[in-house]
Amino acid sequence: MNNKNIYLIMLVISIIITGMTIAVSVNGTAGTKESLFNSPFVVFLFAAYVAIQVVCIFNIKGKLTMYRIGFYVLHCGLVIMLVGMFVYYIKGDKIVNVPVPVDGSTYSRIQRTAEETDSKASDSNFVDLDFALGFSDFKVEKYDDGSDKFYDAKMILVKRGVEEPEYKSLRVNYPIRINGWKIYLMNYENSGTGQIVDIMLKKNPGEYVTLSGIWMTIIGGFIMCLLRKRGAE
Amino acid sequence: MNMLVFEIPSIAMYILATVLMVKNKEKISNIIWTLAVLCNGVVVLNNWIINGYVPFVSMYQVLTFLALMFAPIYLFMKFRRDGAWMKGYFCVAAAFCMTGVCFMSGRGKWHFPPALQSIWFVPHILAYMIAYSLVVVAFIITVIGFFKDEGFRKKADLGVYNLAVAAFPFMTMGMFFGAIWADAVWGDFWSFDAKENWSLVTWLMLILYLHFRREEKLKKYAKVFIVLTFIGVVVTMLFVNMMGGSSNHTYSM
Repeated sequence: MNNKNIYLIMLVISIIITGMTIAVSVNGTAGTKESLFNSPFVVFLFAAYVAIQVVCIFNIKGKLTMYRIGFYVLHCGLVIMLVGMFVYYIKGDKIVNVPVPVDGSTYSRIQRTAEETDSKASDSNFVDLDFALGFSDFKVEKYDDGSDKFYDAKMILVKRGVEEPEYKSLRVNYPIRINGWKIYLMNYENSGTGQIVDIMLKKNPGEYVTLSGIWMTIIGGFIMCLLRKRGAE
Repeated sequence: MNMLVFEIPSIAMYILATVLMVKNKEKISNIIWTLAVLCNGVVVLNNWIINGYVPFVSMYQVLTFLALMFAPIYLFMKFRRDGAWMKGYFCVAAAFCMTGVCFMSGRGKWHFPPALQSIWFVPHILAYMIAYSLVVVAFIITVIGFFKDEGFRKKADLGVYNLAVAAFPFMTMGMFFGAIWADAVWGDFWSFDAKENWSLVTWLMLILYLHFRREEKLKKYAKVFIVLTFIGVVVTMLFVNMMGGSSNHTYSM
């Protein structure tokens, strides 16, 4: 396939993604977004993008200059990143909106909420973890107007076969990894009986593949665009 | 202190410097541009001091910083990409941004919510600001090229290409640092949020420009994608926030 045709396919894919973005922006309900962007059609679009990257990689010929090295790193990076995301699409799991009371109790069985329909790992409403988690303390600092400045939950982790619990600080932006799961602090609420923290659990077997692809794409872009010769095309 | 005292002189000096550059008054235009950058820098510094964090949260803070980016990026283009002739375009772009700043609310102290307290906050936004400033200048040169002679268009064509090539790695970095940050804070590299989608569209338009520009048979259409990239930048940066809705990026207005 020649370059002109590859670029025209890229144009078609870009037009479709732009059209979908405009459609969601104009008619921006959450349902529209979900139905458009979480569909197999989008997976097909990204698969097509991967395919043309692969064709590009094989199409380029010539001396191995810095530009070429950057080209290979960037295009391979895009492929690897999208493969990593595809692995998550197939094998990943996410349990959102898990309320846990801050009372020192630990739990190893998590119930999915009704709106979680995209579970791939299990058909059951319950997920049995190979560890138990709970919260023993929660601190929140506020600004003068009452909005949140900082919050931090003290998490209790009890690993299977280990009697002594571990205590970790769970904060927004700093998820904790344990046995293939990542635990996120999403929010908190005050109920009549005490404080409750909302957490999310996520399993992404493609995470490191995605991250490798992302870093390759960034580094490849810099090599290709900023280390080229002055005025070179 | 009311920062308009620095903002308005900064705009006036950016415009004056541009006019003097057009008239080839090299020395005096450089002095006035430097003074404009200093006034602009005082506003950024003030935002930084009163907030206690790098001022990238409100749109007012971001636009003020963006205006300041044009001078150092021009120096890079001048010394590394033979872009000395682009000086006036960088200067007028800074004037546009500072003019926008005057109409922005969100001055004074802004809260720094927990979701923004991340090591990715500064690199994500800084990378985007570098990329956006390059795209804005590329757009201005492209549009002016429509009204100029063939000689200018030829020079502008290579200049715009150099600007786009420099913008691409920073736009890529901004977008993917955002993805890594999103995974840490929301648990997804990509959640098809309105701002994410529009930034993807902008990135795709820039990619199309870079590819079409290299292909002899498609080269004549390449300019369209620089214009679309600029439109993407404006929508991503300004309109997505104005649309409101359920975007995760609702900190900045």
